[in-house]
Amino acid sequence: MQVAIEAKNLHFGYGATKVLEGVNFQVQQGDYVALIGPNGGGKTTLLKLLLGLLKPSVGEVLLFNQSPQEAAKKGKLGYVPQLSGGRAFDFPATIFELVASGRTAKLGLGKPLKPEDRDIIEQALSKTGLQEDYKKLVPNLSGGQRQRAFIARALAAEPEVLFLDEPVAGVDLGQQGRFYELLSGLNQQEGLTLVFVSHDVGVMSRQANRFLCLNKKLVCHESPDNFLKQEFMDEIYGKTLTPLTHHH
Amino acid sequence: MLELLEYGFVQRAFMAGAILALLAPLIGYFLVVRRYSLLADCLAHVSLAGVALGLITQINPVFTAMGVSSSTALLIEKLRQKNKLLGESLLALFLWAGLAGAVVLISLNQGFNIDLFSFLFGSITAVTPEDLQLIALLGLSLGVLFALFAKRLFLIALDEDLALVSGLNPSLYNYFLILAASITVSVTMRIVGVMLVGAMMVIPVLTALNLKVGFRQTLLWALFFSCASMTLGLCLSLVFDIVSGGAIILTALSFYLLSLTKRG
Repeated sequence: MQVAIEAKNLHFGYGATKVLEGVNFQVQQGDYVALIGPNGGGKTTLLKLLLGLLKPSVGEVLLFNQSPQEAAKKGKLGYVPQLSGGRAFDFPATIFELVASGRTAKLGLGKPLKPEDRDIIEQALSKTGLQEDYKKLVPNLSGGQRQRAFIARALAAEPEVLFLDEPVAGVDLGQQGRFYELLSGLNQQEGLTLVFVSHDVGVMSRQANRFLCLNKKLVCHESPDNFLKQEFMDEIYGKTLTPLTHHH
Repeated sequence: MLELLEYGFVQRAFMAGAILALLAPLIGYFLVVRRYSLLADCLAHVSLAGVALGLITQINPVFTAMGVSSSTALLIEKLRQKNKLLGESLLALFLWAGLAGAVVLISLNQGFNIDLFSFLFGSITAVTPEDLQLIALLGLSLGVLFALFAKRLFLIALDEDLALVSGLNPSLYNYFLILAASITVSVTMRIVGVMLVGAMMVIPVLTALNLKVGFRQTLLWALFFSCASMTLGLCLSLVFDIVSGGAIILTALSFYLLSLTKRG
């Protein structure tokens, strides 16, 4: 199995405030990784370092054995940003236009969509259950539809690894269930590598096959069963937290 | 009215107006969706300092305005990228600096009141054959570049991080957009005037946004409202002998008010 992501001794800070210290890990291709930790623990910062949106003060990120910028230019990366604010709420575009923007970097300057691009866009719409709604305007969508539209946009770029930053914030529970099913399908049936920043330890323990736990430094890189051990939970969230698990 | 169209200055005003009516909302659209509408107004005020400089040095004021506003535009973008100040405060700062600079330069030379009035509020007689050639050349060049960059500007307007992760360089396109805005402001103010050039870039876009259609259709409607406002405004200016800038923008505002009925 090829290594998809490699973090080597990553350090990062904002001014004098250290956010990440000496983070090392590898993610194999096809993994479904949950990136968890307390607020301020460095989850989003790590995600941005992996995507090449931030540069580490020390250390190196390799995606498929190349820099994030090189991997981005080769169209290997997909990204679903936090959608709880920003322009995603009132951007005047249809779902089709949004999803088609996933092909933009692959088209030459000023070139229109070719029939094969349209096929890929239609497949992305179909996988996310939006094929009937492609004419709807993004500002008129529910939280769940908006999330699926941004995932469809990422899929239209045909990435090899998809990064998601707390994508279920503001989405109702019913739609969250369908959203997790979609991601599991993409991971298990299509072998898409996923890195999912989340606060929901319970849900992610059923979805992901690896846990990356961050509290400024890497606390653990484990399977879900090992992660739920008390020692890791104490180190991440403090002594007061006891994980509750349900078996129906 | 038809006899007036036989005059060369009227023909030049309509031809220049048509080019600028297509160019202004094209740039304004990407500024509005990025919540950067105030940029056009900021650059217009900075251009006024360039106009005053041109009038003092006897260099074509359109060129001096373009030079001053383009260099300011590059500085604004550089500071924005470094997050030195919030976008809104940055624009306000440069707007005041531009206006203060213009006022000082104007006070140093009291001899160009009539010229200055036409730059402030627009004039239908102001478009010289040389101006028209310049506007046509810039309009064509910027139009071609926008056609080439449109899809990339869309993605960057949606989210710069998404554009970076897609392998694009947003910084390059941001510089293009802000330079295109400064050049367009400098040439459009001949007809619409410094005080109202920002409105020409923004109001047709706001009108089209009220129609609640997709990105491409919104752009096409913005171009339609801009051309209609320019044509009707210039006609009103000719028939009633009123300042062209005010007539064009009041027409654009009328379309905006009408579009509110569609918005509901």
